[in-house]
Formats: sequence, C-alpha cells, structure tokens
Amino acid sequence: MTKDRPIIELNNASFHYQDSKQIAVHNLSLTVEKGEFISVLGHNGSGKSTMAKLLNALFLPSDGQVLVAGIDTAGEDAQWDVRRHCGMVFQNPDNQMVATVVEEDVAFGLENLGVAPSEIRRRVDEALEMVGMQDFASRQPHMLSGGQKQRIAIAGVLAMRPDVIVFDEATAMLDPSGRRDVLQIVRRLNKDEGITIIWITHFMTEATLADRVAVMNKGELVMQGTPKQIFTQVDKLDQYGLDVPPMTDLAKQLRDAGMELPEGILSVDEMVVELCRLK
Amino acid sequence: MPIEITNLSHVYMPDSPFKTTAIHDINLDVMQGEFIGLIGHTGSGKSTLIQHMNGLLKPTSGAIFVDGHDLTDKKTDLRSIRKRVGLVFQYPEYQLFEETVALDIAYGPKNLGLSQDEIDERVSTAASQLGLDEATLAQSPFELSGGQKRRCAIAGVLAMQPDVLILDEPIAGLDPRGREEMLGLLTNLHEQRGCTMVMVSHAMDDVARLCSRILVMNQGTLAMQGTPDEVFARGDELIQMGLGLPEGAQLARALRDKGFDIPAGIWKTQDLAEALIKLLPLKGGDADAR
Repeated sequence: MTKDRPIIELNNASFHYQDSKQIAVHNLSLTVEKGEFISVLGHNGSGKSTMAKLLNALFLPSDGQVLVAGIDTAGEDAQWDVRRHCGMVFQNPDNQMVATVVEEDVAFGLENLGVAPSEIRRRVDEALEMVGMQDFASRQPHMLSGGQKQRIAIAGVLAMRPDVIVFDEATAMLDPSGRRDVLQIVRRLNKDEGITIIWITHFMTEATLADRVAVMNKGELVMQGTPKQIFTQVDKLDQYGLDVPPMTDLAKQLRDAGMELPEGILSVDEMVVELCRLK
Repeated sequence: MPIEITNLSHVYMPDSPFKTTAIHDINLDVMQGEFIGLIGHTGSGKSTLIQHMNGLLKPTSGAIFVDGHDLTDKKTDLRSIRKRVGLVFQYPEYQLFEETVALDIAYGPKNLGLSQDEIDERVSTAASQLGLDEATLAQSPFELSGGQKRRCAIAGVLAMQPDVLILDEPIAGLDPRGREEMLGLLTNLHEQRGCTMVMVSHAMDDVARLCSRILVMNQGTLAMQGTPDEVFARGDELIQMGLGLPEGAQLARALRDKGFDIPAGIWKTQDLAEALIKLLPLKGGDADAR
C-alpha cells in the first residue's frame, strides 16, 4: 500500500504581520498525516494561532509554502478549496455564531457554497447529530451554554465535510463539563470519522490525549514527539513557559525522593497503576 | 460585613416560555477581607449571583445588603454601591475602548467628577498595582497582549478604589504564564490593598490555592461551602455536579479506592508526595538508608 500524501505540509513557512517587524512564525516545517490527532502547545505569542490561520488560508505565508490536501494555499482562487478541506473552530463561541437559529447557523457555510436545499438539510441534520445537538436544531444560539455553542460551531464546520479541523484553543472559554463534551466529540470525530485534528491548547492534560505534540516558542517549532517524549522534558518545557501535567510533576517529586517510578507518567490512571505496583 | 445576602432568588424572563430560575434561595455572607472562590458549572447561577452584589440585577425575591445598605430599597444610591463593589466581567478586555491605556483606566474616575490630579493619581496607582508601566499607559489598549489587556481592564475597575472586588473568570483563556501573573497580582491586591475578593473560576487548582473559602453552586443553589480541603474531600458530590476535581484530588480518591491510606483533605501535589513517601518503599529500602 502506498502511503497517502500528508494532509498538511508546511514547508519553511514564515509569516509576519503588516506594520510589524516581528516575525509571527518563522521557517515552520511540519507535516501532518491523514487521520492524525496532533496537539500544538506554546504560550501566548508563540505563533500557534498564526500557524492555525496559515492552515486555512486566512493568512498566506510571506515566505515558504503551505499545502493543504496538496493544494497550495497561496494559489490563485485556492482559498475556498482549502477552507473546504480544512475547517476551523476558534476560542470564543460567541464570535462564531452568525444566525439566530441553530440549524441556520450550521447551514451557513453550505448556503454560501450554493448547495441544494435538500442536501443542506441532510448535512445539517447529520452534523448536528455528530455533535449530539440534534434536539437543539430550532433553538436560539444565544440561549445555549458555551460548550453547546462550541458544539454548534463544530457542526457548522462538519457540515462542510472537511478532512482536517483546526481547533484554536476551542475549550479555553468552557467549563470543565463543556470541555469534556467537546473533547469527547473531537476524539470520536478523529477515531470514527477519520478526521485529522489539529488541537491548539494551553491545557497540558488535553495535549496528552494527542498522537503527537508540537511545541512552539517565539514563532518556531521547538519540540515535537509523542506526549510521553515531550512531557518528560520538564526543564525544557519550563524554559518555554509551559507546565508539565500535574501527575508528571508529582512523579518527578516522588522519583527525586527515591521512589522507583518510570518516566512518562501523564495521567491519574497511569499514576494509580504504577503506585499499586509498588505497594 | 461587606455583603449580606438573604433568601435571594432570581427568575429570568418570568411570564414567558423561556422562564428560567437562575438562582434560588441563596443565603450568603461575605466577610471583610475574605478571598472567596465561587465555582459551579455553566448555568449554575454564578454570574447571576455576582451581578446582584453590586445591584446590576434586581432580585426576584430576597435581599442584598452592602455595608448595611439594602440594594432593593429604591432610596439606596446604587452609584455609591458600585464604587465600593467593583465587578470585573468575564473577558473584560472586550470592553476596552479608549485611545490609550491611561484614558481607558481613567474613564471610571472621570465619571465620578474627580479633579484631574486625583484622576492621574488613581490611574497611576491602579496601573502599578496591575504591573502596567508608564510606557504601556501611553499605548493603545488594542496593541497590548491578551494578558496585558485584561490587566488594563481590571485596572479600570480598581481605579474606582472599591473595597470589594468581584472577578468573573479572571484567568480564563490566559496561558500558563499569564495565569500565574494574574494570580500573583490578585494575591497582592488582596494582601496589600486589603480588598475583599470574590473570584469566579473553573480552575479548581487555582481557586484552591488562593481562596480561604470556596462556594459551590449547583442548579441555582449554594450546594456546598468550606475551606478548599473540606470541599475537595467531597469529591463524589463535586463530580455529580459536573465539576472536575484537581488531578491531585482525583488521584487521592482513586488511591483510597485501592486501599491506600491517604488522609482526607489531601489533594495538593506536595502533600500527596509526602503522604506517598511515607506509605511506599523507596529505592534501596530503609535498611540501606543508614
């Protein structure tokens, strides 16, 4: 079987904002395979969001190249094609609601593409079901909770049938249960529907769920690897202004005190297993 | 006592199909100098509750007293109440509007009709309390980073010199470094200015670290209150309310289920480490230690 072409290819991509000498992202090279769940970490101003915007042609690279499903985002008239392949969910759910009824909001993108009404109906229903919001189809978005709104935003993206969805701190404004719901849906979309996920976050615990973690600092990609490979490098993360997950921190304290714990404990469950082994 | 709430209920859109009881029969005293953490999932009534504390919302029933003044009494001057009780909304940086940071912070004091000297004095004090320097004061608030914008917005409230500062999700959406900075600043405001603080937050770990008392809201009622240790010892109930526990508390709970003798009230990483070191063998064993 031949390997598919990566769904996302950033080749030495750079971007700087107009009127600013500062480079927002610098010489970024990253490939993402189809079906991958990749998490991008970095403190504010590290260039994460700029990178996200490069992925669906909201920004075009000032240098280098960005390919989405093989399409060069800087190509003539490429942006609509690119956005159909690569959807995006932003941090603030309120900024993403455009209609006064949930199903109309989900249909917005399709209507702009001139999709036939019967097809729109089918895709909207399907998308709402995927995020478990079918019962809210005729509700008003402003009456929903943050987590529910975010699920509507995801449905709006899903209705476009993208290959990739980029989530730019999509859970930052949600409460724990909203965060859990959204994460659960995203993981299911990745596993069952094979949608490639790019998950930008501040929450280390969320990043541990990804297949691969990329760390950005000052506009550059400074680390990448599996969550275990990344989160065992405590000092390096600290240098980039990032925490390690609390359990990794506890494991380090216990190891320093002489307890025989392996490296790479990320979650409460893993910690429980290891401690029970010592008992 | 700065704030006293008795039998407070609030119903949104009464007499309509969308009628919702947001909070029901809340009784609460906020003591002078306290640092209170208010937690609860979305829709539990936290924001509704705090908006009563400076008279932005009128109760459907019940009463709120601020320094003995009844907010439901028509004769009470709500303007003077709002000077004493400062409310910082969620994502306050969206409310910045002036040309410079200094002007934005000055907006409130200016509306109090203070002299220019007094206004300048208040702006510079508030700015320094939030770690905004002179150069920043001259900048446009829209050029600042997210964390700076938020500090600028909080400085605007602080310039009103409130005795009580209520903050709705002050650290939401900030990165780890921004969160630490903000929490440090809030701690300073509390300790040095002696502000009574009420902080709404989802970040359990941070609430627990800063606050002396935690209030837990659930479905519009005050479901639980106590010190962080007391509240996190009731992990099962918190989970039932749809609230996450700090990971340390989750671990303590899971280990107890496995028969580990972890005392109740332990959830901080440091305390857990100490408890576990006592319970489990260390490398080489005790015999080799000496």
